[in-house]
Amino acid sequence: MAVKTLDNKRNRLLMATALFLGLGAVPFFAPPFYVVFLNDALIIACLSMSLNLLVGYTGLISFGHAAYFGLGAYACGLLLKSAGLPFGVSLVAAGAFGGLGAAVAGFFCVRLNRVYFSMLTLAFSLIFWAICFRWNDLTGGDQGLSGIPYPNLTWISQMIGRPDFSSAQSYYLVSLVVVAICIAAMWIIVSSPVGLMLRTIRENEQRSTFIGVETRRVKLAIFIVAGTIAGLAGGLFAVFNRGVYPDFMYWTKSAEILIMALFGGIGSFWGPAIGSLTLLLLHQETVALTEYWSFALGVILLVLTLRFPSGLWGLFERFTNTRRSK
Amino acid sequence: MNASANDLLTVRALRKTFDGFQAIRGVDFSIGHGRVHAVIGPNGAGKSTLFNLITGLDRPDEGEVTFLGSPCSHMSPASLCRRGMVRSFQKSNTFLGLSVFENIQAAIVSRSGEGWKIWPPLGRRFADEVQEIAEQVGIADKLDLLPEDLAYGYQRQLELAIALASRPRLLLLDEPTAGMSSTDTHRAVALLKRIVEDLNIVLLITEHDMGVVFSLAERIIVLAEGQIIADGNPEDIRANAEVKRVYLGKS
Ligand SMILES: Nc1ncnc2c1ncn2[C@@H]1O[C@H](COP(=O)(O)OP(=O)(O)OP(=O)(O)O)[C@@H](O)[C@H]1O
Ligand SMILES: [Mg+2]
Repeated sequence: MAVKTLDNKRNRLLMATALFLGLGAVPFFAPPFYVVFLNDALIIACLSMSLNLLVGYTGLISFGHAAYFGLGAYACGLLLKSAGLPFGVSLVAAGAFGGLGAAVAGFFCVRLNRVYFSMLTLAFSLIFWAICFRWNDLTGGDQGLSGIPYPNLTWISQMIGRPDFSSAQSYYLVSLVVVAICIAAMWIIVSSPVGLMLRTIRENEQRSTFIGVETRRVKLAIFIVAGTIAGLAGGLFAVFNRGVYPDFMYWTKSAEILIMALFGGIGSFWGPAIGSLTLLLLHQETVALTEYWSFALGVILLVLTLRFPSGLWGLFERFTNTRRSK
Repeated sequence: MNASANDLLTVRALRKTFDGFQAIRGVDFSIGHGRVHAVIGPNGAGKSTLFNLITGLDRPDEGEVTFLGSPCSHMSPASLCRRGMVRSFQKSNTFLGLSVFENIQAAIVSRSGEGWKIWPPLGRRFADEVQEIAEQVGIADKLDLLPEDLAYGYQRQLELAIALASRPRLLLLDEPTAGMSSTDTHRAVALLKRIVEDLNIVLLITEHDMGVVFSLAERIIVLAEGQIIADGNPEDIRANAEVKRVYLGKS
């Protein structure tokens, strides 16, 4: 038993490393179009995984997670554009603002349970959205914040001996490293003692308090962590797309991330990443037919809820398990 | 009553009203010495409500609970648990989606103050202690199951295991044998006796099964309509006319 878990652990680490290296190799041979797509996909995958810390691991169904993505995006964009701060500092600030927003909202949200929690997260996301939408002078209002200066990343292309790399290709590598760090941090959290405490809260919050867990504090902490990672993702996304728009943090965006996570499977660590990748690909393919996007999402949700409540990852596990046991 | 400072638990002038209905109307007692104390009373007497008030699940309207010398009516269940006041529930109440192992491990992690650690990974840490506790309550061969896969009697034992993992000084069990078969009940009583002797724990239980009460308790508090109508050792309670009328007469 112990040997097997050790093996599993090593295998998982090996697979994650292989995935990281494989993704790192992409800009060296794939056409730039794919690099651009994959960059966004990585960031959104990281975002929906951060939401899964709340939904899947703690049982907190947040309807407003895009707010912290948006706060990070605005913070990073403004610090780069208006304050002229360096990229690294702005990115860290994006995480800090996401976390700060989550701390403010979370302070109130974790006092409520179930649907009341969800409603309050939605309410806060609408408030944050409205502030960014209305604060014309700072955020550009409904026009958004465009013309965010791109960081100079030639040191990266030089370091890896590929001076011909475009800034997008270099940026992709930055995204990959930041996302990998976030994912590693999330992995550490969910496999730690804190991770088990989160799951006791998901399963039975009242019982959890009776084994001595300060559930409100734990919930607030994980809400802030999730918000910080969402903020970092927002910062990465804003700079790469050179702009921030209010609909980054609109409630429909929150719903989209939640659907991605559910689609991939909130019962697993990687599920939400698979879900967001699949949906982004689908979106990419149907981009000419945008009026069908809602329809497609609706159908997916329908099939999912009725037939596959454990998502794509659940399907995958069922498939591999039956094969193995045969 | 004359509570002394080194009492484990003191309950004084406790009152609780639900929408105009007085569930607890002035309850006083203390637990100083003695190992097993039982609260008995007919359905709706207020036993569970009393437990909820003591353990911080509910707030009293009036009166005060003192645990280990400090007033604790304002304390959260979590901080009471850390001070050594632990409880089980009348209805089975475990972490359904976690394995039996994790149910017990979680309580150990929390008690040992590791609940805030994010490093190193948890894995099967504390497996020895989980094993030991599981053996004590007789579910050591069921660690990989989910609670819902356990027979009812074992689910109750799991609850006891979770409670023991918190290393209680005072353990409140709300009807620990309710719904059990008579074999399970016998086993549970033997188990509770052993635990009280081995682990230096004071028990406060509620129970409908008089066989269980009289074979375990050294002291019995009789509650009826939110008030204590008798408090004493089993012989006194058996002989008490008022108690016979309200409670024992019926069963
Ligand atoms: N949250 C509540 N709201 C309203 N009334 C309540 C509440 N909790 C308990 N009561 C009422 O208080 C009274 C005492 O209930 P309690 O559960 O404490 O009784 P009990 O002695 O534990 O009974 P049993 O032996 O059936 O478990 C009952 O009449 C019950 O209906
Ligand atoms: Mg009761």
